[in-house]
Amino acid sequence: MLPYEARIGVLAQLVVLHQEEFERWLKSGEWNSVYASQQRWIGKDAGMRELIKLTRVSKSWMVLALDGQLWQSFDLKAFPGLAPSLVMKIAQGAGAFVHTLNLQGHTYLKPSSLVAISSSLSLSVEQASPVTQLTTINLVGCATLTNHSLHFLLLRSLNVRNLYLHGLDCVTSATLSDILGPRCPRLVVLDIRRCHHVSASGLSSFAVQCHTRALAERTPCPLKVLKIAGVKGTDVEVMRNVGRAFPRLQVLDASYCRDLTDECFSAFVEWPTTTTITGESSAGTEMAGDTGSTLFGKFVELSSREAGLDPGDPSRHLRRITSLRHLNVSGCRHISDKACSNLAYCVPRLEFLEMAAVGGEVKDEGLDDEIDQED
Amino acid sequence: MDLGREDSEYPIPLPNVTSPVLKKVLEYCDHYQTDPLPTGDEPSADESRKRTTDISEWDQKFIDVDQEMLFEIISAAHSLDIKPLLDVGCKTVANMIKGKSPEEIRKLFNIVDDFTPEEEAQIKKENEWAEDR
Repeated sequence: MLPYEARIGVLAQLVVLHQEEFERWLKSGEWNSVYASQQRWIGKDAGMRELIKLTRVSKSWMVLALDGQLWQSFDLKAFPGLAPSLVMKIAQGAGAFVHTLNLQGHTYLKPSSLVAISSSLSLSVEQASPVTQLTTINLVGCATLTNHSLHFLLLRSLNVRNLYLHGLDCVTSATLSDILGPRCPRLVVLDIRRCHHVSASGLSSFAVQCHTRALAERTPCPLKVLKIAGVKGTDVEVMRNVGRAFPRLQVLDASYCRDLTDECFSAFVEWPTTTTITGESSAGTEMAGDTGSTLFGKFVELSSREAGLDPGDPSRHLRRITSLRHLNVSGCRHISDKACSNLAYCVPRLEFLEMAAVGGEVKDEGLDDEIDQED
Repeated sequence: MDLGREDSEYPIPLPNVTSPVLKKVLEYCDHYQTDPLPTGDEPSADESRKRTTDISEWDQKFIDVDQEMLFEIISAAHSLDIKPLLDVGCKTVANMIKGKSPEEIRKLFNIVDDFTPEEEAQIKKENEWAEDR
């Protein structure tokens, strides 16, 4: 009889064999559309499927195949037909080892199942609330979940970094303002596109809480990807709060936020007036401000003409230099090329700009301002 | 293993390793003493070693033994913490399992099916999705 760890090693190698087989197909050119149409599972997914089949061999093999060491990534996206009882068995075996929870496509996942899974994945600590070690949670397509079951999971997942909740009705403004804002400080990716019960006030409250924490801890919020497509009521105040709270934002998907206007982007790149600015400046020059200003990134000082305002106005205007690389404002009917002028000089890293179906007001002047500052 | 002159006076007990198995392990170590395989303990190195260590032709001939000897080699590699040999052994057993049905695996390793008929039916129902191609 092999030692238990060696038996686990055999099953781990079984998954590796499937991954290597797929890589060989790719390298040799054997993998083509005909082959792909015949294979339902490939690579790691095929390996994990084989693991699950091994639970039928005997009781001891079931314990082995569902051992948590083999399920550190609780990625069941490829198995939407998995019976809830089996999902629970896997969760109980996996325990607190799990860092990734991917149940995308499990449309029949019940709220009670998610609560049970959350409990199984939690680590109980004396005199403290149970916590999971989850850093990635993907529940896209889990349409029958309730607000309570989602919050039950999130309250135990304070270290979550990547959160994908696209299109879920169970996501509400309270999810942002009561859970994510105060309790999930390590978020890097937040995808709440098409969550119809999320309002702009919830988003704004989330941003303000992140901003307040950043000021208290003297550490900028780590959020890099924010997808809020379809959120209603995103106005100037909301975008101002979002801009201030997330200086490291690289991807902003605000498509189909139909209340967005050009002025929203002026507010997005507005430099907070409460921060002391030191040093001399000249037009268009980047400056690193004092210690307080580094929380918001760097800023640039612009003339009125450069800022897209009245050229005759002699005032100077401070604008935040963002980290944006991808901006999507498609479907925002009130956006025109003036939004591009408002963003000029503030998006030096921009690689993708999506402005499909923004209405008929996009003229060359605004786009030229945007492009010229990149050169 | 080169433990130095002083330590060679003291025998190292290997209660789980028989003499024929130790002979095979020493054959493996002799072969690779001039061509060491990566033995890093970092998780990424460990993963990389498992993924890139395809069973070489020499390894395939070396590990071409009966099932009992194969399992004893794996146990010895585990006790002696010889990770590359452990991986070769585990990969060989994994290849034996790959693609087989539960019934075929029971036959291969003389495993008794200890599920009750009701448990068997429940598991079969749970695994219906995995049978689809």
